[in-house]
Amino acid sequence: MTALWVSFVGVPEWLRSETEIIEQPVIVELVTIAEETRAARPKSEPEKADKPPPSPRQKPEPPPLAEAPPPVPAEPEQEVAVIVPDIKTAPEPKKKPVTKPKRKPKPSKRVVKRPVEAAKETKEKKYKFDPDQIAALIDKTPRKEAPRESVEALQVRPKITSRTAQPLDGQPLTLSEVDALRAQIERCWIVQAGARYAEDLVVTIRVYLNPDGSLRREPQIVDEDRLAADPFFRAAAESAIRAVLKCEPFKMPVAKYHRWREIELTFDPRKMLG
Amino acid sequence: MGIRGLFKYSTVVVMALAAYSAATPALAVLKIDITQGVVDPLPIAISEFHAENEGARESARAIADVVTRNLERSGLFRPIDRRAFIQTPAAMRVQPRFPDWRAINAQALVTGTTTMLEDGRLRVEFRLWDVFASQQMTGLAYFTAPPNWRRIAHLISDAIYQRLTGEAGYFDTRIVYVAETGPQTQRIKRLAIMDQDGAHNRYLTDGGHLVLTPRFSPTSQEITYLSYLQGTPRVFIYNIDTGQQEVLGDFPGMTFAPRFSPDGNKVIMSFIRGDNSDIYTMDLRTRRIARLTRHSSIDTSPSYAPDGSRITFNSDRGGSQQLYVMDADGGNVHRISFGRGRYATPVWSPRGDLIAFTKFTQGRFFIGVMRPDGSGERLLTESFLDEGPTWAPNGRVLMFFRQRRTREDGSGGETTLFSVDLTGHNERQIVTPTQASDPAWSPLSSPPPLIR
Repeated sequence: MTALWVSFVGVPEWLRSETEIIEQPVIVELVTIAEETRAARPKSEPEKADKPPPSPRQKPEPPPLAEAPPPVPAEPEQEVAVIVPDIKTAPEPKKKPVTKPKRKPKPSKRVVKRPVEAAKETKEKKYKFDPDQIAALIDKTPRKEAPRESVEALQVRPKITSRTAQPLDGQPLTLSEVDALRAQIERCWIVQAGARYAEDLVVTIRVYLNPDGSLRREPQIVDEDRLAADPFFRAAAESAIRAVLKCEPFKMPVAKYHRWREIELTFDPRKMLG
Repeated sequence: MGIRGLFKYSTVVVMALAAYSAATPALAVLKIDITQGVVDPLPIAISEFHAENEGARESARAIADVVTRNLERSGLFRPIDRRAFIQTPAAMRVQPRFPDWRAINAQALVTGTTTMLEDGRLRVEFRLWDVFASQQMTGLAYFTAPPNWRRIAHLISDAIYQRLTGEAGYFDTRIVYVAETGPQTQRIKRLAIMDQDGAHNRYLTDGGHLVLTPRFSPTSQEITYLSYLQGTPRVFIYNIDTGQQEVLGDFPGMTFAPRFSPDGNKVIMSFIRGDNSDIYTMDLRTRRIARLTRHSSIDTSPSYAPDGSRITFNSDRGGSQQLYVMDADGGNVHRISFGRGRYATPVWSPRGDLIAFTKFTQGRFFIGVMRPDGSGERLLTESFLDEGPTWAPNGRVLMFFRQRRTREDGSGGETTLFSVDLTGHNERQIVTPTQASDPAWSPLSSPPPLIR
């Protein structure tokens, strides 16, 4: 019994370190994202490209409306509708040369500090040493000696305890970090007022992210089978995906990238719609 | 907690720890629940359509305008001012530049073309785009006689509404109502019909006889209404397409509040005999009458559930006017309204999930809804006099009429039509050429044949 409790007591090491992290400033800045950022998204369907819209003439011609248009506008019945085939979406006008890949996470090295601090420090250093190395300053790829320096710097700082000096990648996301992400998405999610059967419109989507918080690929609807069968579900699912597309990139601590590289979001309007 | 309980608990702890340590290296996917969002109309950009030739120029603009107004009035969409648009209709014939539309925060985009064909028909094509996903959501082309462009605009509005909400639209519908003219003491009441947006208004009767309570057949372009011929109210059936009307039987006593059954084969109404009123049905094919309630009280305003299995009506059998529900054969009568005040004119939603009603309490009138079991009562509107709700075919919007207070000098007292959605936030006046009361919403017209 006691052993069990002891084993349990061992855990708070984690828990406490987590609570302390909460005290640190958490990056919650929410920014409206410029269109270009999306450009980094890998285009998944290159073959869609450049296909011009089918010419209307190629469409099946509707049957001749034999008994011609009655002159009275109020007697409308002779409309014919034709489903217009999809225009294949051409690739969007391309997009800035991608800069993102540089931000490859090297969790074991950047570790010690939150990105903001690290950036600040690098800046200071550059000022001291070599103004010529501006290119290197812009290049955020961690250099080999960087981690060691940061660790030293960290040890000098009085405020940071050895516990927080543990590699961040070993730590779970703090509640504040998760809340910040949630708040960011909630601001982008437009919920249809008075939607019916709100209880059936709970949508779970999987989101795959790059280290810079942008989407690595299209979000994926977990319950894909319902899309075709249920127009309400489809509308709800699309509104969830729009929220994610509109909000990206997400502000997340890059050091914990492996914790949030893949996220499952459940959009549940029940509390809002009763 | 006893020993056993402790043991149980410790087992749980061990299992939890095991699960924790097992999960850590694998790093389970982060799961987050999003339970709050913004209840806002969806920002949508509706571009003027591109006219492929001169003959189609006028409709190119007019169709986009009608679609814009329809979607805006629904309260679910916020059409973006066209002056903010960057890309022109002509440039979008090939493909929209999505970043241009994201820049003005449009989440959906409507584009289209109109072409006057050599055979004199108008070809209208539209596409709905998901701006953030850079994808086409739906696209349809219609062929019609040019004067029917407005109906095409309504069909396009319905297609957009349906694709984005999952719900059937209600724009390609009509409203029958009682047009009122003349002073209060010498009122002329004519039957009138118009599109749901107020366009194409025309009168069906000449005002020679008082008309009341028009109701649409759910299955055909027929209405039933009450007309006072020689001072006696009679139930009529009027075919809108042919203009023919007929009296529905010659009943002893007075008949009131006729309404079709969901299959269109029966009319349900109340007959008054002496000071007692009960509910009856008449089969339109056999003309046989069946009595459903037998009570000394006043039972009236019957309305079927959309599946035809139950009927809601109001009755003062409990002492005050309240709402009741019974089976279609008149059995299993039970009261569903228990709030303060009086309840009247119950109407079952075409969705089946709600019953709309008029409520009177503390000197004010309200339009409200409740579930068929009487729970979840919500009041959507309030005024000096709101009355007579009628449902849009998708069960999401109600229309009713509102009468202003009559002033001491005899002025005022105007009646107008209003619509309100189920949230109660989107209340709109429907502009009519004359004063108007007692609206009835048509079912969706039969859609044109689809060619795939």
